[in-house]
Amino acid sequence: MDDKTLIDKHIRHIRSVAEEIDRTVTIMEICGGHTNVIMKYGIRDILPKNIRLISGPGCPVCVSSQHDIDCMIELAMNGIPVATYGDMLKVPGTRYSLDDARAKGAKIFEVYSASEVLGIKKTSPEIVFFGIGFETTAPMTAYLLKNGVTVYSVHKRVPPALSILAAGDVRIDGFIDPGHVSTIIGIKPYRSIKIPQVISGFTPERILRSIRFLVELIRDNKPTVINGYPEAVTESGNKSAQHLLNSHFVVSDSVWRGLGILPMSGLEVKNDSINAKIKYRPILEQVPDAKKNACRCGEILKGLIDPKDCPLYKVACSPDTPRGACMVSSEGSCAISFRYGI
Amino acid sequence: MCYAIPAKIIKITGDTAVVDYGGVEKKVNLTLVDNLKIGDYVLIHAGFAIERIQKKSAEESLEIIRNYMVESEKNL
Amino acid sequence: MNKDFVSLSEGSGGKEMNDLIKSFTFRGRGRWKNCYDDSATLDIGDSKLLVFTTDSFVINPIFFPGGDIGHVSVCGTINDLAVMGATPLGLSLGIVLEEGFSKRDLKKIINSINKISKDTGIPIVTGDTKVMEKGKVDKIVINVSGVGIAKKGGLLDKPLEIGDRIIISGGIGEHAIALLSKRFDYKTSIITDSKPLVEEISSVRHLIKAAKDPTRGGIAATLNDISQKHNLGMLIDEESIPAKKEVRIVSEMLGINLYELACEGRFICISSKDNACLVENTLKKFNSDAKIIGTVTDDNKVVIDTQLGRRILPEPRGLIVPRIC
Repeated sequence: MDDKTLIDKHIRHIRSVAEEIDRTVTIMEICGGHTNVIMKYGIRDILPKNIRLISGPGCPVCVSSQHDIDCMIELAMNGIPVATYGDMLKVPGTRYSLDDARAKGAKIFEVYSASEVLGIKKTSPEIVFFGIGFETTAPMTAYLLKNGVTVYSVHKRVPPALSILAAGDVRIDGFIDPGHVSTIIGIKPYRSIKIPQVISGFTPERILRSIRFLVELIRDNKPTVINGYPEAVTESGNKSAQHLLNSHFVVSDSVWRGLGILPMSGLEVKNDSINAKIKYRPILEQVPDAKKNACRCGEILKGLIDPKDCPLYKVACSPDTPRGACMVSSEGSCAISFRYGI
Repeated sequence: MCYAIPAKIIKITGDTAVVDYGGVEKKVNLTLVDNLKIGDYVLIHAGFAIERIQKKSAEESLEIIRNYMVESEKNL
Repeated sequence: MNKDFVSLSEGSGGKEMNDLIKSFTFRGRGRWKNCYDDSATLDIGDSKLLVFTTDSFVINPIFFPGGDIGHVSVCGTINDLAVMGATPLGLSLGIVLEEGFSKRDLKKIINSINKISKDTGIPIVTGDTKVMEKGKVDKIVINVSGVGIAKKGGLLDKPLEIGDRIIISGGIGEHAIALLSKRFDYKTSIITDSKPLVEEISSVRHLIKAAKDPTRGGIAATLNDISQKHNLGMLIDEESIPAKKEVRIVSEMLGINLYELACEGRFICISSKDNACLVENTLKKFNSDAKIIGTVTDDNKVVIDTQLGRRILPEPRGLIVPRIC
């Protein structure tokens, strides 16, 4: 059966189950890749009115705290060579972005893969890698740590955030769990979150299939986790990647933009000698606390409001003049909404 | 950043491999997945293989999901 | 955008670059017209228009599958004249070299330029060469300016009508994918699509109303440019957009929007509904992937029809891909 036929089947099925549910249900996705496909194909618009699909904190750049961003920029402005994924370059710090710092002469290396940093280290031995991402990219950073690269880690863990969100201000009836994080962590970590979940792949068909399973679980009140990405996700996940993670990172509390400090939700570098936060403490201590601005990224990340509900959206905040990370990162809800004219 | 496509391993040199997806050959890092052989399919993300694609068990699981879908349609 | 210093995305071909250019105000254009278009035009009497354009090339890497910076530079400028409907007359060549640049590489680049010039019959008639100290310029920067002639009323900027068809002359994104292969360390059979478009455009000139080549920013930039210029919308059929399988795979792999990938030997043209099939069939003789991809609408937006419904095809923003043109 081709995708189009399957999609039609999923939509019809979702509609009929939605009719049986006599209230509005809220499904949250927490994966930048899923957000992008959902917006790109206008999936929200084809769902029945009582099935509400919201975006959560699935964009690792967006959930990095303003202070951490300011710290990385401070390192760069102090002549320390810094390597980062492209997405981080234009996120506004309190004064500049990394892109601005580069234009001012700071040594910023944009990498597509963490593995490129080893080559950069040969000519810039003092290189610091900005470790951003969830459990998909954290093992790649662990690989760098294994090879002696200094890292400023803002890596975060998804399951603790899901727990907090499930118990939070917005009633969430089900989660579309991230695809690639799940290949690493497996299905097990989700089971303790007693709420319907489907781990999803990335095509529009797969996402609609996941929503189809979810509305049924919600209708039947079954707080189960379905593995909708069995080609890549197993019960226990990728053990060798997990081992690499555990060898080089320690679980720590972490600040999530919009969610505050979430206990045990971050990954901190184990080895102090290659932890940039320790190694460059004298520089980083000088970085003042980030000032709050009117940006409501925090509420958007929690799914409390949509980008269009933020007073700055499209007015003072646009991809040209971003006020917050959600507008800058390619996986940010605001950037994606803006791009697709929502 | 969050895109990954299954790719077939066609050459292994230490920690790195050359993979093929539909005619595109790319060098990737294999350190995150154990015991990979030439001919294995892997999921690639940001230049690393992040998991082996379980072709056989994926088919079995899809069968389970398909049956689930058929059952749920019967209930409509 | 930072008010104080220029950033990379302002050279990327997207919105930031357009904004930067619009912020420069050049006075005293006199009788020159179309100054923000691919080429500027001047009525020189006798029902003729002088057509004038310039382009600078900072491509990295300078050698890539199927071509080099010389090849792309000359084709780029020739095409800026051709898409206006002009017959190119002559080109200038300005080169800035980094001290220590390999003379063997320089010879290869000049040979490429000479070959295009010879094949098209468009001479390089004047030029300039400068050398800067090592480290002050990145290997080589080339500027090619061009003059051409067009008949008054013969420019490819006729008014468009709702219902007109949009045609692309071949598969998209091949130049970008060829160029990025070195930077992102992958191998494909894709070579640059860079080539002069004079003959192709001539073959359909009498059938089309407008033409534009989707270089930096890809078809997303070009379709939005045309839409804004004519204050009309477009409805593009996603399934019709021709792109080779490897191009699709690489764009998916790198997370780059397929529709923002640059082409250097393709053009988009608009024709009436009645002429569209003839345009497509004529262009198929040059490239079998030429295809009608959409229709002009009264919407004032560029909308793409996907398998799941319609969505906007936005104007590219940000650093799409650095230095591929």
